[in-house]
Amino acid sequence: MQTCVKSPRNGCALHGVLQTVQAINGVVPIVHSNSGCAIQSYLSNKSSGLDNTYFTGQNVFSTDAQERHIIFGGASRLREQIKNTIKVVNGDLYIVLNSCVSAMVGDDVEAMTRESREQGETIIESLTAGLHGDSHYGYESVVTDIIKKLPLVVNIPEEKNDKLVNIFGILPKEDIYYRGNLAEIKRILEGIGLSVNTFFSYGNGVEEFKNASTAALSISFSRWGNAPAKALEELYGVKNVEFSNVPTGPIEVAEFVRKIAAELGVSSDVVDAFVEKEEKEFDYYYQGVIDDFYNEAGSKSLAIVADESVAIRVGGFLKRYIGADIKTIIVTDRVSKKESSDDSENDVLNTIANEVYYTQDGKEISDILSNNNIELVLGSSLDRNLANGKKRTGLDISFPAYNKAIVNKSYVGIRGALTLLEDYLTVVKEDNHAKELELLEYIGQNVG
Amino acid sequence: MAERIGKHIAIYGKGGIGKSTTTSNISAALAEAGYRVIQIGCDPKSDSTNTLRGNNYLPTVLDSLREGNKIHLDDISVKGFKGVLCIESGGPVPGVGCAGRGINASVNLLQELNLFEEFKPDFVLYDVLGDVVCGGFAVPIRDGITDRAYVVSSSDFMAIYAANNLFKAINKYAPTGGAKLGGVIANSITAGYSKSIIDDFTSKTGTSVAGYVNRSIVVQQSELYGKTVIEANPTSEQADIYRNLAKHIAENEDLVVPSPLGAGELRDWAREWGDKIYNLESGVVAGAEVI
Repeated sequence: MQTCVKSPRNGCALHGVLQTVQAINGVVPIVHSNSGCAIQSYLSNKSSGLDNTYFTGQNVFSTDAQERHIIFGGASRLREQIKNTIKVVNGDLYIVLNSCVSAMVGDDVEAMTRESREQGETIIESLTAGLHGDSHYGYESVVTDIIKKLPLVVNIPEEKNDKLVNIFGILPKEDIYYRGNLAEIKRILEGIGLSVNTFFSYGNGVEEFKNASTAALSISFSRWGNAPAKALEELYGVKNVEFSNVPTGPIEVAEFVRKIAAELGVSSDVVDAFVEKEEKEFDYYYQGVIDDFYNEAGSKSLAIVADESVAIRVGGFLKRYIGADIKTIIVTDRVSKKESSDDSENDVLNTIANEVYYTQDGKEISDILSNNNIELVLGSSLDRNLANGKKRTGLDISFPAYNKAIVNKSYVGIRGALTLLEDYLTVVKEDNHAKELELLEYIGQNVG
Repeated sequence: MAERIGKHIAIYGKGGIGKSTTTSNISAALAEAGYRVIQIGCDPKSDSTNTLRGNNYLPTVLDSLREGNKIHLDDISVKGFKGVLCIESGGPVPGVGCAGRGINASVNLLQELNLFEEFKPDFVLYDVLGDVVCGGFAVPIRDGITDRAYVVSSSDFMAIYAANNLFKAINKYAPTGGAKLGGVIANSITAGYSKSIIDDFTSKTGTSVAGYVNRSIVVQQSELYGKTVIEANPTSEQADIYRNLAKHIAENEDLVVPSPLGAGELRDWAREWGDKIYNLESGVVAGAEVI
């Protein structure tokens, strides 16, 4: 069935691939496409206040294929672009990315990268054309490709590190706070004595992908992390555990670290000491705002519009820790995956909200929010735009987030949970204050 | 688009069925009758107009486009038999690139070069690669480039299958200004049931036969001379067959939107004919009666 989607928030698979590889230090993308694919990806992310990396925007290498490259094939143009790129920039890993046009024409991209590899270059390809799916699929596909193809260009170490874990499923830029979130998860896991490959946060690089095979465990925090984790398991026997979301709050963090510790044989003394320390830290700050949420936040009706794993962690946290009244959850990343509607994630979502919807259609989302008397929207900037040009009150938790600079904020773990609490209560208090002013203005005009 | 100059006719058909031979002979016959004719080969093989121009070298439109230099009409066209203007679209090497897009770009370029305004043709014949495998090969019957299409078919099932596919394409594009069907050119007709098969197919699809072209050694002989039958054997019976076909195509205004057979219908139809032919060949008398 053909449908028309208004204001879709998810880019194409190439968009997802590009924003993923751009978040890995030392990776140089070479896009084999007609002019515009890479720059559109950049403009989309730029308008959302997301970060630059070295090879973003106009610094992305592209074949800029013209009509003659479509008609006669663009492989030789790609060969030229690969050579030129390697001449002018040093990379730890060059990765050729495919586009709809080259996929439809059937350019032999693999032959070009193979030729370059035979000349000793560290180059692989990811044939994830835009038409294969949305930006979430792009992450899943390219990370899996890197894992599978890296042995073609680097020596993969054979020894195992029983304290090393890999993190998958926190998607660069789709999760707008991915850097801070990855850093917080890393801090937590390091707290029980583990080393962590985050792949996409501060200090990461191709080296982490190389070492991923030596890890004792892969942890996937959303359905999009499962395929790369399984690839590591199949290739190198790295066990993987799947979570539906990133732990947010002391109870969730405690459960999480105990489960990981059990998998890796970490001593319970170490875990208990860490959990106690984290709980104390959380409680200390939490106490400081108790009055705020009793007095100000209790009666607010909320909607959450986000990717599944984000909706679960944000909704779950606000419900558990401040008793938030979550009327509606709208899941926006289940468009290209045709899972059954009765899986465990659905059960979790149904315990958090009264109603759960699955759509990325802007009109449908707007209608759902309007019909359910929602006071606060936790979602993307798109979800807070009203037809009359006004904004709904809310909090940015999803892509895209306009007019926002994001450095290293986190909304997960312990410290991120406190930031989420702080930001949420601030929005609530601002909203209450604005309503008080409206009331006073009304009284001033109509009474006495 | 601007008013079309001359009648623009697309000729389709399965690969190897005799499209180029038929088209070139029609062009030659029309030119012989005093018309100004352009024949454009829309096939990467770029051999459509060989017999009109004595197999002389002719750079294709896409070869010129690939060079990236400024292109003039003289660079990509040559006058052949009786002044027929011969043009070859050309295409990528087999297995690379997108030939469909090539046809699109080639037709656009010819329009940009004001080919039709300059030459003022009475007829433009587009000889198009067999099956309409993708949108690119349907370009000549879309966008008002031609207003009529003919399909060359023998009684061979695969040729009829290709014809039926063209009918589907016409059926899709005709309502939005695409070409309609002028008819089926029944080619390689031999004595026996081959004529009946094509007649039956056209009647089932609401179309008609534009002309029957018998299998003839004269055609092969002329081809080997590098000429059309009209040029090499002008007094032959076969030359008159092509002249009559050309006259019919020149005068025919009875254009239709065909009703292609569905996949299942076509299969059943073919099976029915398979039984009839088997019975005929194996001497079952009842088989002969139904033909």
